[in-house]
Amino acid sequence: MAKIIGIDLGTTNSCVAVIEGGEPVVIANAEGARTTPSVVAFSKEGERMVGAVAKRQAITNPDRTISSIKREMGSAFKVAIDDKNYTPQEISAMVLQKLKADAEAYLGTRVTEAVITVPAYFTDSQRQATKDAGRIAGLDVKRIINEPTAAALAYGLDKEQEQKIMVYDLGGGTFDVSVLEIGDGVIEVLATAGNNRLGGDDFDKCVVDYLLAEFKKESGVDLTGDKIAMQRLREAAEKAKIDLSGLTSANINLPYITADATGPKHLDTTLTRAKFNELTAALVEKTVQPVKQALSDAGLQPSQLSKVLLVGGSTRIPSVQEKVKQLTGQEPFRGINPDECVAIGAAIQGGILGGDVEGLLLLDVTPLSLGIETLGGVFTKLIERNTTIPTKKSQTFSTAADNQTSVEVNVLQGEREIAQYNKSLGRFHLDGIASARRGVPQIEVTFDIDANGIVNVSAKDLGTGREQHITITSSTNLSKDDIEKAVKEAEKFAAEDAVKREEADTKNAGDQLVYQTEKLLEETGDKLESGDKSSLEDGIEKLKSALSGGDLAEIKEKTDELQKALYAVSEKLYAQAAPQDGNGGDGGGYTPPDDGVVDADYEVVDDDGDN
Amino acid sequence: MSDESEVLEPEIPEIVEEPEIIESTEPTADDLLAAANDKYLRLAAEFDNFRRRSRAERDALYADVRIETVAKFLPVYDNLARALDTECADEAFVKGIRLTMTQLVEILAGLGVQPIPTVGEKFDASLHNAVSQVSEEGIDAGIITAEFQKGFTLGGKVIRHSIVVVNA
Repeated sequence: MAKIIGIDLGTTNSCVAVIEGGEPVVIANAEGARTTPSVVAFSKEGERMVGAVAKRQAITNPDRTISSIKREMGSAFKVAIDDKNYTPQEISAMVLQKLKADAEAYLGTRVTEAVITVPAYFTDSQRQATKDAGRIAGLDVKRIINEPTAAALAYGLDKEQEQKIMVYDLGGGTFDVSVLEIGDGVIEVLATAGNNRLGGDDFDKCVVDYLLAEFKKESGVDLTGDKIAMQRLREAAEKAKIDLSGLTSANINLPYITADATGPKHLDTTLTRAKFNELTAALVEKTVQPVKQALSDAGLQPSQLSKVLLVGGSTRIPSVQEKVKQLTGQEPFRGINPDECVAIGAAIQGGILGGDVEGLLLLDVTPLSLGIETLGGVFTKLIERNTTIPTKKSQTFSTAADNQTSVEVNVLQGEREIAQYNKSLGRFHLDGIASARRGVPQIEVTFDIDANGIVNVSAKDLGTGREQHITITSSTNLSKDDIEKAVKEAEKFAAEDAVKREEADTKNAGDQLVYQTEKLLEETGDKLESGDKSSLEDGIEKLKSALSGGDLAEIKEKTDELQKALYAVSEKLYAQAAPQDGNGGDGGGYTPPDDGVVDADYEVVDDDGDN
Repeated sequence: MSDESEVLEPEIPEIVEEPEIIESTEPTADDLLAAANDKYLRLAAEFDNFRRRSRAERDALYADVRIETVAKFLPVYDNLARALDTECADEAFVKGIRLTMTQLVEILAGLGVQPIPTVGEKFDASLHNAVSQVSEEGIDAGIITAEFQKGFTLGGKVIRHSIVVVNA
């Protein structure tokens, strides 16, 4: 069974999405854009163009370029191209075909089924026409759903308790407002209202008009007749509008916009958000009446709404959001890209119909990181948070002391770097480890989380084959608050933890160097000159006392000193060993000291070793 | 009557069979296994497609980032071009601007950025964006007569479409 795609077949732009691995994904078209203009054109040679390419040639080919065909859906309207009359369904089918082809290219499989959205006010015949368009495009339309319903699905509201919501949809060329009732998995449209000639382009036009007037006032030049200048102004106005959604003022800088007898003229001005709001206040005001209408048709007071969803790119404009808040008394619900929200909802509906959502959404993730405590109280993560489960991961650790025969595995969950600040889920001992020098035994620790979130942690001594394990069933039943708290605390204490971590790492490194040097002395002491030997012994003593003193700077300093002494000595040893060739190779496992081998990854637990 | 009794008779074994039919609607272990296997295969296939696409996307990423970065600098090119189109009495100043422009053009060329040919070419919506139409004698329909803004390509992809005027 192939995927069911979700399509937002819009008046000005269309968008397609699909459920993939349980998550909705918006599919970019062949040109790399996430929305496709709903424009179709026929070149004089009979070539058919859809999307941005059709839009770019529109002015050269106005009679054979069709846009906003959605406004004609379900009517007897025909588009005459050469000898053929096309119905609105047939034109819409061409847009759908492009979206279908883009989805197929993305998914790498054939697509034959779709969910398509329509405005809530569409009549039966308009819905039927939309369905027919799908059929002509080679799509089996599994369901036609209302655009506001799709928005509610995108926000997962169908899974929540019974409630009434408003969807405020201000798109490129149309404004729709709907009041919905959600309950028992059913979403019902209670009322709908709107203005089908109001959208983002109107906001741009306000800015262009303002810039024209300002420039005329300043320079006396009227730019309206200058096509190049107008083109640049339109682009700059749209950019300023977008900038003003995030910033409180936008700089509009158009050098050499025109020239007169006195020389070149530049347009350089700043548009504040306050000015922009003033310029576009009338447009925002036009949405007020439909909102009130929809509420009164639904027989509701604003206070009875539990949420207000914003759909359509123009709802990014702060003054629009402000107006919605003022009208409904609610902070509008945001989060999903308002241009893509409807297509995402359609894809979710497609996923539900195709079983994708029920079947695959169950793949869970680990809410927090999991790992064990290692030397110096450090938390060593084996499984990072948000890893999709089931998953399995192993890492090999060793002992921290000579002749250590037992290790304790403390299983931790959390985001802090220091073990003690994380939650211990359980601990167990693995004993019977063969007596050996520290760092020699290999203990493989494995975390295995099944699809139900049950964690099985095992530790195995690879030398003896002895194994111990623990099963933890409570790792995933954390509340959202618990998870957020853990993550926030980790962020809050990141610096503090890093200091402690560095402390532990420094001590571990110093401790390791002492051990390494002692081992060298033990094994090769007789080959060393007495001066070298005493310098190493001296270094060890100093580092040891620094370690017991606990002053980090001093530990670092003494570690460096001993390290240097050790290098010097081992260089001499090398020089001695080289001419002897083949003689010293088997001398009891002397390995040249290697700065990189600082085994921070082991666990001291049981200091009953006899060193 | 005899007909009716004949009808009745086969009904009896059917009733006897009924419980079996009900039982057979319960999914068997084989059914469950088949369903689970199907789900597994689907997921594996989806993952395979995902992996392939991720690789392709990663490969395209470098080129896309370069295109996006170059596109952000193009307004500077436009304004230098406009500056050079402007009358100016200060020759040394104009020369400075011209050299700056030459440098920018060389840098763009070095990055593989190529200007899209316009005036005199046939309009092609995959490269050009038409914002106006004129009727000029002696020029074929569909031929570009003027360029408002230069367009560029990089490695066969359009960074920015040329903005042009087309003859009707």
